[in-house]
Amino acid sequence: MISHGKPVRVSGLGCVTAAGRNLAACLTALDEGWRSPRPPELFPAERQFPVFACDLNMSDNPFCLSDPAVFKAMSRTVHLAAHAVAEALNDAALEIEDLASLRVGVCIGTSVGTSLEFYDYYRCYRAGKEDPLDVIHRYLSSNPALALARLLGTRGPIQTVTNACSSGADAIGLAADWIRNGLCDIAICGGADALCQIIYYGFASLQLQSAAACMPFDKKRAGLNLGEGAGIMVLESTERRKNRKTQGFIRGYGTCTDGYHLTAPHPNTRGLRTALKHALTQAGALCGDIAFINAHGTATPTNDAAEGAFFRELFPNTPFIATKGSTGHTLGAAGAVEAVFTLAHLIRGKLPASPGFFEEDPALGISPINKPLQVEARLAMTQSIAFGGNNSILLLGTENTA
Amino acid sequence: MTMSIEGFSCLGAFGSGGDCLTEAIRARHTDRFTERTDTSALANFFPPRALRQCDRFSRLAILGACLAAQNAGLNPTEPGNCGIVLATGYGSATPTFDFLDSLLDHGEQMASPLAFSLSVHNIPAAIVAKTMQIQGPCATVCQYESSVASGLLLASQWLADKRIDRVLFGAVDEYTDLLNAVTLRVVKEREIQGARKSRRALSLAEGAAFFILSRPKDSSLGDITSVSLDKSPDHPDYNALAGDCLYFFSGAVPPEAHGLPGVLDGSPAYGNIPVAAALDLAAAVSMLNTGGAPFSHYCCRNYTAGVQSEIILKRVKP
Repeated sequence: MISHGKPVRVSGLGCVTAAGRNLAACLTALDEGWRSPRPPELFPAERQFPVFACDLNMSDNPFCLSDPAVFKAMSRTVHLAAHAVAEALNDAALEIEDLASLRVGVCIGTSVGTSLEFYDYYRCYRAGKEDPLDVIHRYLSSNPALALARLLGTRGPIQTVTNACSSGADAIGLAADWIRNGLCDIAICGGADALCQIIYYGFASLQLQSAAACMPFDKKRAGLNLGEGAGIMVLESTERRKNRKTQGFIRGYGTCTDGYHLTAPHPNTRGLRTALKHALTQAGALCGDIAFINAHGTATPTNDAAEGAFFRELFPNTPFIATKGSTGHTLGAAGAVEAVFTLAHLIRGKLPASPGFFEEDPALGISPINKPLQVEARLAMTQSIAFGGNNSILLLGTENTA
Repeated sequence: MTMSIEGFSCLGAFGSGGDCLTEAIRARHTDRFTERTDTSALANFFPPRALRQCDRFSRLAILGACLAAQNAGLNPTEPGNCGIVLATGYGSATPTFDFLDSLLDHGEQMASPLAFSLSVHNIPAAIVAKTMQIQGPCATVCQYESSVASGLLLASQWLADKRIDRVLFGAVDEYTDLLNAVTLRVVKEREIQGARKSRRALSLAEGAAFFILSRPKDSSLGDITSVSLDKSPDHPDYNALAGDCLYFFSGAVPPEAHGLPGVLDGSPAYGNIPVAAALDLAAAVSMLNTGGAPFSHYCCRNYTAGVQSEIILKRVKP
């Protein structure tokens, strides 16, 4: 059984979503209840489900400035990740040059970032034509962790985690293990995913997308909105970070599969409970120590029902929020984006209302907060539930003890 | 941390099992690796109905996983307190292209939800978990040829943290006509640009290798003593193990390694497969346990995308 583990310092946070081009802008948007998904513009679609697309300007990205040809040949997922990495490094008061002499791991979760997104190429192939290989070269140069390690010039472990919608949370949890076990001095970790034509059509085929702005945990919820973005944390060993600013700590991480269904969570949240148990044990904490929870909250009927039952039984009085009403579901990035949000809420002592939630669903019997809430807390939880039955939980703290 | 190998399996056009793999490497069967892998042995573990929705990639994964569990003396349908790490270079490609077929043939409104579900990268690992009733941590890593070392690194962390008693670690990639055509086009383009030839110039192949890993045990088939991924050094070091080491290079031996006392090229057996390092590891485990292994260490190393991946296997039994 996993035992109590040392907290891992978080020294920098970075984030980009449709709600904002940096963490501060995202938090402002959440505070203001901003939610404005638009019809997809990056690709054609017969069925117009709204999506949350980022306003991304590559020209001011430091990686683009240093090597525009290499950077521009990489995918939009990598561009989103690099954008958030730049913010997180700046927040940690680290320059890219500082990394050269250190063991720096890169651990990134993604879903779209490793997908074989060859729609047009495939159409030509089927028609017996040879399309240029540009899309293939882009794919081969854009594995998120490998691409970031290349852009940063790091020496250390590299991992691209593809656990669907828990990928970003898993990448942070796994990178924390690297620091705890001495594999590297610094870990740049999180998740990134861009909007993608094939994924959009795929979620449409599963009938999981809402035709209107999504409404997590609301009685009238009718499915999710896809989004894109990246969330990045810089983790550092205690020795390295001594006497320097610390944003917070990764206190515990748990992950477990349901082994139940490919695209729906176990109704009794079997895997989520085990993940919680492991995260609490690693943190040396109890359910009662958790001040608030960031729910996965996709706004699909099954996800919110499973999470609702979990909260009702184990956390009946703990406030929880769901933020996908302002960001959309950013898939492999979501767990990391929301971990960044969760730590930011802890630091500033304030929770926003859950965007898109208006009316309690009596079938759930529990609701996310619908008004801003002041919190003086030391420990919070964020959870991710993924296709394939993956469940992952991160416990984040502002102090290194519960 | 050191990981003991309690059991293993390997599958490919060369057949099933370590003996078939090492024999094919020695015989340099260069004409067989484009053949599809035989998964009919799945019928020994599950009724066909239980696997009716499984795609080819998942079938390779389930069969590899069951054979490895069986090799370790575990019940394949109840292996106990176990996690799953699946490494893949490209993920399950066939369902992705099946989904695109459904889109192109029938339009957005009639695209196949099953094909889409199966195309998600972590679904094969989830299917293995569901089929074998494993309810531990489950992760998939996908990063071309460095996936194997990356996945083993993850497994070692779970074992070190005592998240789990055993890890079912597997590596799978599948053949599709499109990926093969793309691979050959890329190779041709790079040849024109002067890139050196290697197994990457061969046709794409498919296969799987699975290992049951645990914290160190006396009964180990071999111990993985080191796993690393790092930026490729300017001058790779081949002397750390003082010559008592057989090197594998995922079938792409770098020119400077040709003079080493022990180098084995497995590509004639497994062809061009991104997770070749796992098949190298399976061959090494097999050699260690069939008697007369001349080396006490086996190093599975590869270079891709500017990254050096390395796995060191050490003999445990005298």
